[in-house]
Amino acid sequence: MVVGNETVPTTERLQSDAYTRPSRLRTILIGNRFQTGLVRLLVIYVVLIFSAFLFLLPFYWMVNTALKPSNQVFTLPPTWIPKPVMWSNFLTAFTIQYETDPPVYNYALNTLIVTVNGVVSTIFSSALVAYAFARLEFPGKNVIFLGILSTLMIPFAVVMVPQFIIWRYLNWLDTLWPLMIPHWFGSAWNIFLLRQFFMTIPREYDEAAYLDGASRWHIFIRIILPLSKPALAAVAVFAFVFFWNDFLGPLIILSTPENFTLTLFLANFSVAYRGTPWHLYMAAALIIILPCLVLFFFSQNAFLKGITVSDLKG
Amino acid sequence: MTPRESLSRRTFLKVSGTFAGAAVLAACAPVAPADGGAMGEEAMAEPVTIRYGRHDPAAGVATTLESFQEEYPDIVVSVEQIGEFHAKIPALAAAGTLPDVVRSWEAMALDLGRNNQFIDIQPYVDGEPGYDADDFYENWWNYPVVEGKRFGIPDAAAPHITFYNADLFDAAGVEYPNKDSFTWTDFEEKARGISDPDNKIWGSETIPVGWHMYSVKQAWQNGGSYYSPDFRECWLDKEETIQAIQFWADMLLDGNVMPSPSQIVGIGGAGAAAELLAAGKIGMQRMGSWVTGSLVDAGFRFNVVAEPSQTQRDTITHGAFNNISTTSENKDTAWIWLNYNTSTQGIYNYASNANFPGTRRSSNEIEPFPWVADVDFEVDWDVVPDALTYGHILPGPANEGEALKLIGDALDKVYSGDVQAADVFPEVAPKVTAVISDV
Amino acid sequence: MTTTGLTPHSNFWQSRRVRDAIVAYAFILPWVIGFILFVGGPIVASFVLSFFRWKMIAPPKFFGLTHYINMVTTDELFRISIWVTFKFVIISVPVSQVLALGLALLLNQRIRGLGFWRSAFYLPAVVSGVAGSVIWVWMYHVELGIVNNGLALMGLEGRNWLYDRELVLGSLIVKSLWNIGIPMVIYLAALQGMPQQLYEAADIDGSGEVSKFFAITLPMLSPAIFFNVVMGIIASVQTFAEPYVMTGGGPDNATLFLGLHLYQNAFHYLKMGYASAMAWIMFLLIFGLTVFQFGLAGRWVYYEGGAR
Repeated sequence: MVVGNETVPTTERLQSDAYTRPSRLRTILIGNRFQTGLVRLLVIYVVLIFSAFLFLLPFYWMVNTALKPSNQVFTLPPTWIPKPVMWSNFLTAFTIQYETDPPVYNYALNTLIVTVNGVVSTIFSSALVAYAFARLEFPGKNVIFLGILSTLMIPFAVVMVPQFIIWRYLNWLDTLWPLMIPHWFGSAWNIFLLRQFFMTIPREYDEAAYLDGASRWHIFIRIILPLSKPALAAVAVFAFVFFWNDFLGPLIILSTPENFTLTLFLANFSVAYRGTPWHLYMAAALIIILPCLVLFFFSQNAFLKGITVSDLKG
Repeated sequence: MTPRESLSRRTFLKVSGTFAGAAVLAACAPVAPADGGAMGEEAMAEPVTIRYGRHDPAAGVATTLESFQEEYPDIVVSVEQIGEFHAKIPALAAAGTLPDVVRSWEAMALDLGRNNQFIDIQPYVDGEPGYDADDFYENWWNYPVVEGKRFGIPDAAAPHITFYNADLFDAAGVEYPNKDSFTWTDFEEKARGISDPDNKIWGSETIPVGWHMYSVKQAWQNGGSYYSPDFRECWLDKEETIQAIQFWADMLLDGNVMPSPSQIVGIGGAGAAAELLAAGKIGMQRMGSWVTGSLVDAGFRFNVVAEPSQTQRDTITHGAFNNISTTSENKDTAWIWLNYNTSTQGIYNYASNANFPGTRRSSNEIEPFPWVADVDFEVDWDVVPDALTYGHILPGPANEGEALKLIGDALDKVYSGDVQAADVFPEVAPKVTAVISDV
Repeated sequence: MTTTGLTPHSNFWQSRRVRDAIVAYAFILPWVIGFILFVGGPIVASFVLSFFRWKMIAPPKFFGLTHYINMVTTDELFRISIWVTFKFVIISVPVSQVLALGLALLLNQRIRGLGFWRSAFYLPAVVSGVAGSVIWVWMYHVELGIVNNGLALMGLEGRNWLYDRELVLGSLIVKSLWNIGIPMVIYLAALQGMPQQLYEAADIDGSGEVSKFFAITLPMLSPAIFFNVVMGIIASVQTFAEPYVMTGGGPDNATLFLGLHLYQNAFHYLKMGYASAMAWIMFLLIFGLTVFQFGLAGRWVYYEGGAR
């Protein structure tokens, strides 16, 4: 958010007599704007701890169950800490093969293909389009940009059936192509995000290159992209999470287990394994969310940047 | 610019590191089985792969498959178990990705046949020298025929019967069900005698919620039905149907006959309900004869008797048809597998694995009979094949999925005690008729 | 670059503008193609389809407005699904915003370990709809779930969270509140970018915390709130994975979301035309709610530097 509003008179007021100092005890307990009081601090931490507890509880319950031996899953009251800790559940969940279904790593591989393609295609195509809107002038620019933004309102459901029909007649249903190809054409949100970022790069850089005879393409590849690494990283992490977790797309496109992605496998888990072995179910869920969790921990800044880089005023 | 630069490099390195890792993983992972990838074997006749889609585990056809592969080394049959079978098969048809051979249920076979998703296989039957069509039970053989076109060959015919836990009957001092006369009233009385809700013991299994096609047998046993015989009209509003469903709903809600919806919650949720008989917690269960398999090692003496009847003896016989999909590129080869799988031995292999009769008389004459399980106490096994003589095949209306959703929602309301069948069925019947008459 | 000889200065700019436009169109070409193939074309197709009856396995038939008429006359499930979706959106979106803002305000205090707390609240946002739903099914398990067992520890009686039609939508809303990481971070960033002078001025005026919040914080946050509400509506109208995995739309259709009803009609009953008609209604719903928000925005969203 852009700061730098000079309309509020501050210095004058600070020096005025109206400013009175509260008592010392009050400062210690309640605090002032330089220092947080003890009571207030206590309240803040209690609420924080309690909220964090609630937010992390599902993770605890998942991990707790995922590590239990099978005979402890159905005991009442539940065991709060698994004993012994069954690390082997993860191996079982990852290698278990139900009937003629493919093993889990096959789903992981499909998911990886779709995700890697999704990340690369989203970054590249969105950056390309965003560059035009950030740097070039052309008739219809604003209208088209508004058009791009307004596609954000279009639910997938509206295009789902016609897209399905297209893939049907291309004979591409039950392949990974329909989950890969459409993402090479830019995604509205990321175009917006990257355009906002590109606009913060000083124009002098590319103007200089332009006058040196560099082509727009050259400027885009050699100057803009390298300067935009944080924004590209942000797009990458969000795209990763999106494609890794995508469900409705694979659900309507894929039909044979060989082609399934992890989310489909997980959604079908209890169907395939009749009578749910919850410890394996949770182990599988944990394995599936792990890449996103790891990605989050290693690229927190990219995540945060991705969310906040966009100037909300558009 | 500088702080952002350094930050970006770090972030970027981390992200690209992740991707590099992913790429390595992708490179190392075993390549998924590609279609027809064998490069060096071009000279040899390329084996044809037939996809065979079915709802239940591949174990059922394992024996047949083994001997088939020996006999036909050039044909590879890849068995696919399809989850959410009911919903997925129409979706596969729409997608044009149905397996070459599909093992479809009653309504599915007719619906997809009518819509040209399955081919007419009568020419294949006629082309088979010495094909003995008379070996099949007539009702099963004629079922998948619409306007002279045959869309499938039946394999299994699993009748619904009543299983009972003889030990629980003895413990409660209740007499076993009478083979010659077993009415709904008898059923209720005996169930009440066994029920002990405080100890989570009930006389009867609950009515399977969410699987409402099975409730049709109650209508039949009272002279009613869900649909007219040609499946074009919904008969849910007929007096006999209303009475029948209401009778069972009242029994369900009573709480002392079978676990009611709220009680079933306390004993392991809806999912575990099907295992209550095997767990020794209920006295009687009306279900397909395949339940036998789960009782063999249950540790109590069980026996079987016909389904209880009201005005007439009736039951469901539920089975499936083997069809060849229109989109198959190897229909001739698909027929070879289909024919092999529905041979006397093929049907016997599957039926005996799952403890129900086959649709061929010859399969049902092979000993041990396919429905018989190896237990060390007396079981009236004859009850199973007997049911084929009076039972009905499950109905096959068009658009069954949508029809069952409407019927099921109404049944759910009745079974939960919100409304009386008499209030809701007359309202729903015309809606269902509109759906199923839209062929 | 080709040399066309020496060009007069004014012509150089002229040609640069033209060339730029051509280059620009080349750059946005991918989006245009993608739009025509995967968005614009399908939208038109979907609109046309909504007037046809098409099961895909049989030829389409012209159906006029019948689908739209059926929606309001015979298809009770459609009405239910609209109502379920509407209730969910109306409750889930505002409550998530209040919670997200509350957490952001907490994190904006002078606290230690900001990174840890922020991660804790953000983490669920990277968990997929399916995996998250699976975890919550297990949380809500009537006998073995932590919710009921936790209540039992406190001496309270558990409920059947996912099988009780009075509770089930609430249970799904609670699950949705778990995923407020993104709006929370947006609020936090907006709070951190807030000009301190305003607060200093208010301090001098002797304003209390509460009045400062309503007089300064909230108006300054209004663009962020607006953005989050709009995005929240767009996402929650389309809710699909949660009911699909957790309830299948039940019990008694109490969680039959529009997205789920549409999916079932399209891919279980193969009513592609009807599903398209419903998709258009969904679009209009999102469009209407968004436009409504934009209409309201003029009254309450405060942008620095005047009206936009």
